[in-house]
Amino acid sequence: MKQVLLSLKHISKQYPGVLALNDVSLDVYEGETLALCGENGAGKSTLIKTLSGSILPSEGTIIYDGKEYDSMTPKRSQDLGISVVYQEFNLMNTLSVAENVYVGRLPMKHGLYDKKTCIEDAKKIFADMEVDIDVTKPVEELSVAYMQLVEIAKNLAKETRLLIMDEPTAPLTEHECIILFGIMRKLKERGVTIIFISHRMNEIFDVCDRAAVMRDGQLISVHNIAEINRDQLIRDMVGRSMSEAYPVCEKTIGETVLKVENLSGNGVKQISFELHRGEILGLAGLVGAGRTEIMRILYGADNGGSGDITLHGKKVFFKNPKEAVKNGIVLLPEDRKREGVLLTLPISQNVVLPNLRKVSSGLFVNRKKVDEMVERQRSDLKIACYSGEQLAGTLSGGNQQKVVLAKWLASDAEILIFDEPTRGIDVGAKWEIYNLMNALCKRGMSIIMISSEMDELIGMSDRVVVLFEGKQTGTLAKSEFSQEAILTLASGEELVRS
Amino acid sequence: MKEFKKHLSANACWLVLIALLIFFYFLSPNFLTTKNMITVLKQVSVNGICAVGLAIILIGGGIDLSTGSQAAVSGMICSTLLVDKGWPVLPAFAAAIVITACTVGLLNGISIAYTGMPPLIATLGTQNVARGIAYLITNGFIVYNLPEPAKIVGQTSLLGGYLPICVLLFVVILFIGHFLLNKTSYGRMLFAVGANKEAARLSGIPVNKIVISSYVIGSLFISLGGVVLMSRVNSGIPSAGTDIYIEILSGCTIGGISSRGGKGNVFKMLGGVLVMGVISNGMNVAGISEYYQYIVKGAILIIAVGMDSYQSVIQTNRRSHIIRSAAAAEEKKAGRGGHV
Repeated sequence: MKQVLLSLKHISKQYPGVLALNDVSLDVYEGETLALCGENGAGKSTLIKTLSGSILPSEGTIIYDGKEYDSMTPKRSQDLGISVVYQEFNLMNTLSVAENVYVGRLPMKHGLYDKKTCIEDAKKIFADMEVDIDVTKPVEELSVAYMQLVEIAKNLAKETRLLIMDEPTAPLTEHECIILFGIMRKLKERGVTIIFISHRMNEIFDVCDRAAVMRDGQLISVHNIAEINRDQLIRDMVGRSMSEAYPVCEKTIGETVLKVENLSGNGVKQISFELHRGEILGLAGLVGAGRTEIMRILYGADNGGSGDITLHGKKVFFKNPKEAVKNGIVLLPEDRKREGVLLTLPISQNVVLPNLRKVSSGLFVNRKKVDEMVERQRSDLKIACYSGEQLAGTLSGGNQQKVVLAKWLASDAEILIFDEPTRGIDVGAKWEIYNLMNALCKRGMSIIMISSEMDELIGMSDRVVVLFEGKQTGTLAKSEFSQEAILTLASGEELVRS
Repeated sequence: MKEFKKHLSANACWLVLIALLIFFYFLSPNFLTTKNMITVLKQVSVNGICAVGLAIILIGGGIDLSTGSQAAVSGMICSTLLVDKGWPVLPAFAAAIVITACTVGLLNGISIAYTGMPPLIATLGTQNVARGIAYLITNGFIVYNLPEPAKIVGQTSLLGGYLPICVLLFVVILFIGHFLLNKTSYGRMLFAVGANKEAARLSGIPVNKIVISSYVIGSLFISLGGVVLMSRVNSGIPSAGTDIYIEILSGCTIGGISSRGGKGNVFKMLGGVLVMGVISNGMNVAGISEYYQYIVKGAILIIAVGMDSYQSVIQTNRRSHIIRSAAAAEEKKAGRGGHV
């Protein structure tokens, strides 16, 4: 009989307005490798953070090694031998690999830093991992994959009983993944328990014993890997009835306005698609698949791209955003607060900013024209504010998004690139944004929509382009839409068309 | 070839130094003489001692523009204690150094660590505050007539005049700085904080304490430079050391102490400090107008820091894509919390 190392009992985490974890109960056996799967935002990271002690659960208890705890703290978690390899790097780039591995607890001799021991110990750890690396090199000279391995080595250098890895393979190449899996197997032989988060199905089936599936903050199912197949697992991850309805839109889709062929850059390769007048083209993929990156190339926000872009039958390639805007292509960024609106300025100035020429007479800004423009957009988009002089920072997320939209509509844009149009916007305002998007399409504009929300992609798009790790894995027409199909392509799997 | 290139860039400042020596040799016959070289070393030793202090601050991720004013304050305190209060030399030196470090240095450290204000602005403020204090100590008067023993460190030499004591002191300070930065756990924590504050915090390093102490310890070295300067010029001058900050900031940067923190070595820094010393002295010996010297020194600072920053831009670009997607992933996780 296998020993239970960790037992979560009825863990819930309530954030204002969101129940991030909903009554999760899960047993983890000593020495097993457990896969934790689920879509972006299913609650996996929140669950991990309760284990590492960086957040406190609102309800529930954690039983670890026979002892019961209400919550973890970072220190308690470390003392108990729980280590977490997070997705982002916590490395000191200018310091050597060896020092990074032992930072905070460098080996000392006679009260002084013992560099030799530090290097020897670090060498042993990497030799153990069968990774060939010069531990005296500064981390900044390593490739991203090796940085990930250093992160892992950091945790191996500690006494670890439970190792949690949050998408450790995301930046690794296939070969490096194999090295990592070798390390995982070795740790397993040593009796280390591993919780492994990954979006890649074949990895889960390769290295894990069991798979726990989360969705909407709940634990949906736990399977033995030997007794389940990929399709079942994917169905568990996404299989849920559509919770929200989407506005239906009667519109006609017209001629091709934008044609992109073999667009590459920013780590994304050979993306091709066409955008028609009045169409909403969804861009799907997991985090890091390169959706935002390729759109920034298209928009001219990043340099170093290649490929052919045809706009209204004319070959173009934008060197900077200014050219794109001039040609009627605009970007509504995902991070509104940082890249979309100027929070400390009033709505009016936000709207006028890209349209200064239109509201100026000679050198001077014409106050009357400004007021007209702002008023028209305000009533058109129903921005909830007491006046155009209200500071953009005081608006709700939905209304801020409308301000971003307003500034581009006033500039006669024709193609809108929406990056996560409803991120952080509450349900009611979402509906309004969707209605606006449809209305714009009816007016003859075209929209490229990057979204991580399945429902939104399926509900709003006319076609969907799916990316996986910088490559285009498929294009789906409306009739082919299904959560399974999109997720299959987004995980880099072959889609069997029936 | 790659190795060679690496060596070349690591030791570029020594090559620059040799080139400068040759350049000024042809520009002025009085430059490359034994006497003048000893003068250069004497000038460099004051700046160099201060530069070790600045290096500590830079490695911890900070910057200090108040270095020259700090040197002036400690020189004024020391000369006043010696002349007006009749203190013996060693206690007066020690008191001046400790008082300056525990006022100006501590003020810098605390304001930067606790308010999170940019170190550039904080120390720009203390630069003026400290300069005012230096003037107030004697109401602007210069303190003359230091007792004889106070001149030893700045004006006497060993080995028949070939080894000035201040140069010897500078060498000792270099070794102390190197020991502190590389051999003590404090030094390694300082590197960690300068390289990545957040990662250092997560590794259990008391970041605020390290930041504050870096300004205080740095100030100890800078104040020592101040009293050596006082000894060298044989008087306490409230306007002393106005050009120290630009020379040592350039010197540190040329010598590979990155203004972005977490990187550097005081022995390599020596090369940068010597380069600045040779340029300063060479321009004087060649009779170049002081006005041009301002322009040259300012331009050197811009070029040195610019090259340092540009290297980081290249490095960032190299993996900006990956980092951006990692950051995006994290924001998604943080911002969504169970949204889908």
